[in-house]
Amino acid sequence: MVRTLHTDRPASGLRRDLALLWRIAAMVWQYAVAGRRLRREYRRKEARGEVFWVDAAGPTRHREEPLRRR
Amino acid sequence: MRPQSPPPPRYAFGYLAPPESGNAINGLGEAERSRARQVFHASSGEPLAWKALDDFFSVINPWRVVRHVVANAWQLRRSDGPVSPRRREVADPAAMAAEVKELARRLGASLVGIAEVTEEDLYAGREPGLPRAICLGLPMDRREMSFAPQPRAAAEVMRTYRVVARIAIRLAERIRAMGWSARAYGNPNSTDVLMIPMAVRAGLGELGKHGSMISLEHGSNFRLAAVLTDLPLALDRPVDIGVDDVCTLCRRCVDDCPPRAIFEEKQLVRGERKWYVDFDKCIPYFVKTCGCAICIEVCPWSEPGRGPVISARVLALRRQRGAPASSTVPRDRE
Repeated sequence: MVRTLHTDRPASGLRRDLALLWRIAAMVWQYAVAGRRLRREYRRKEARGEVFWVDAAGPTRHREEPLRRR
Repeated sequence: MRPQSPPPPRYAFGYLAPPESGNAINGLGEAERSRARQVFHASSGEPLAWKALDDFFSVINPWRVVRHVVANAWQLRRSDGPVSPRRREVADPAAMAAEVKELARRLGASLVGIAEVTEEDLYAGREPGLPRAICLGLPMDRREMSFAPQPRAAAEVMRTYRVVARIAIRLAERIRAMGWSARAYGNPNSTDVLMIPMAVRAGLGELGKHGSMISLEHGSNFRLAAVLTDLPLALDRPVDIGVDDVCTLCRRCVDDCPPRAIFEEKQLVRGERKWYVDFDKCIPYFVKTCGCAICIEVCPWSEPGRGPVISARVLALRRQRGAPASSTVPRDRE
């Protein structure tokens, strides 16, 4: 999620900053909202001795969407 | 130091459909030289074999870690920018290199070296096009790192990455103000370049058995950033501080690694025999502990003040044995 944020373009100025700020805000929001749900689910499964399948209901989609919107 | 009660390498997460082995993607056992491919972290949301685990890792990291990642992403908007039209001509690349190193140190860098950027320093498909790398190293707080493999250590890792990235950004800005292109690379998870090979050639240290760098000054207890530039600079040479001699005999990281991911001998990786860590064993534990870092902190070189002592002893021993001279420069002869 937020770990893949990367400023690829050499563009500068307010527009670039706003675009990046929007992406960061979206990702922080996802970290807080979808991430909280996922963390809770993972801890629950961990406590029960079950396995959390990272590729079954993982957070991949919510991470990729903000990146595609750039 | 000893790791603080590391959890066992048992995992409450897994893959329904396991991806291709990270070792295969990394080229373990391949005799042909080739460029590295990204496995676990990537720059721009491109498909990754281990993406689902990477995503999971990002989400289970505590906020105290993530906040540094977010701050780093924000500051890296200034990693590149316009170049001043008034170019300062460089008659003496050695003098310019000395000036740039001094500037980097004034900005806060502890280790500075300059290397040529080769094709193999870039991930497959990446073409930054700038010929030289100014490699920067910054030590981590040893006390905070003594909490490895707890998230407190992970927070210190990401804090250090943020600070060293800031130094790289400011250095790149100063170079662009001289009329030369410069781009800062300071995101540990999402860059186009492989920092370690460049930093080794820039003389910051050597590759250790645990797959991380070992420097004379900080052992493995430091983090890297780089500025790629076309500013004419004299290049540094790799150093020989005796890491290979020590790592060949030392088992500290091997024994203390909970998932037993560290190979005892060098491996053939993309046409080069070098120290290598078993990705498929390391990464699940890395994820579980939000960054682990046991191997770099138990490394004897990471004990403050030990590096020069270890190096002096090892190099003296080598001379006593009449071992052939290394092709690199022993640090004690510089």
